[in-house]
Amino acid sequence: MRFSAGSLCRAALIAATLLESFVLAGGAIEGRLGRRSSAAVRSGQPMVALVGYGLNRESTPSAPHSGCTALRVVSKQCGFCREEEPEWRRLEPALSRKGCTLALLLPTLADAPYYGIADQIPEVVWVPLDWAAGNEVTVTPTTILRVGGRVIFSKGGELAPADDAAIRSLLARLPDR
Amino acid sequence: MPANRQSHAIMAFQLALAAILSALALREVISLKRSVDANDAQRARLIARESFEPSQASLALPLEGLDLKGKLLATPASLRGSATIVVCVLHTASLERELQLWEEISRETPGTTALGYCESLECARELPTVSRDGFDVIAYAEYHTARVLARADGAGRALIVDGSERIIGSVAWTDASPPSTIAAAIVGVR
Repeated sequence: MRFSAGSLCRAALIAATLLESFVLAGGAIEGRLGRRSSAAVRSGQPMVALVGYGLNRESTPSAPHSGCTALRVVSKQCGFCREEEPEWRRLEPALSRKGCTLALLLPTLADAPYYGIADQIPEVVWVPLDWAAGNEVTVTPTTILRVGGRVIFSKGGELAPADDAAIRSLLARLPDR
Repeated sequence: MPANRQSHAIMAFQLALAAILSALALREVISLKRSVDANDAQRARLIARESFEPSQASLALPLEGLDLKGKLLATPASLRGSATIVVCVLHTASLERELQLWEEISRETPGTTALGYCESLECARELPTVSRDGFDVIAYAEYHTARVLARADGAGRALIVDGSERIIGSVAWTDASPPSTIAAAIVGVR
């Protein structure tokens, strides 16, 4: 069987196109799986209220999850946590308008204080075991938006502009305070 | 343009396109592999970080925690004199039996400090109603420590930790285990 040079060229082009398509599809699948693995707490899952203590142990345990809460899991060693600070300053008015509390969970005592002890944002260091067991956080920063006992947004990793837009859109659906 | 030259040009164009697409695919395969490796490494780091196996747990496990009222327990200073600390998770349903068991184990293993962590705040609220001589019980732990302890508890094991808060082993236990058996296992790890 003999092939002409033209058909070989066409076959090469088709093969390369198919190869590129498979690689692109693989990249998209891996991207989705990768994103999923970095945010272990999933949107839609129920989440019990976090009751815990921060550095100020003389007060009662802080229970930041009153109604709507934006819980940030952050660490002092995490550069991405610092990088997304401006994003949170921009989000603060929208959160406050909807009566959402911003709270921090610090994975270890070495991460505290994150903002400073005098700051008004609750920083939780010590948590009940069952809360930690039921809520896996794999990376810092992680952002969890919890409304009515359910997670409505979860992102493991630095907030991207699309996440900011998603949070704003979810907040817009909530009634004003 | 003669037909022959035109067909050569088309073939050259097709070959060039195939070469470009192949090069792009190769570059993307390399980048994909890096991404998969990075995700695997992140998962492995997480598993190691939350592991209670001495061979994998690379970090010290901060044991310091709080009781229901926020009092600090198991501080590094208070644990400094202990060569070995046995860390167990206590369960609401069998709290009294488990407290008795660990009190007895404490008596049978001199030089070992037993330290309990309540599985939930409900368990911690029941503590004042039962006797608990011999060891502290913690209601609130650091998130990372709580994750490791919950994993160990899920595997039915209590952790053996040295004075530097490094995990050196674990022992299997249930509320029905004979205290002498657990005490012997703890001595075996030490």
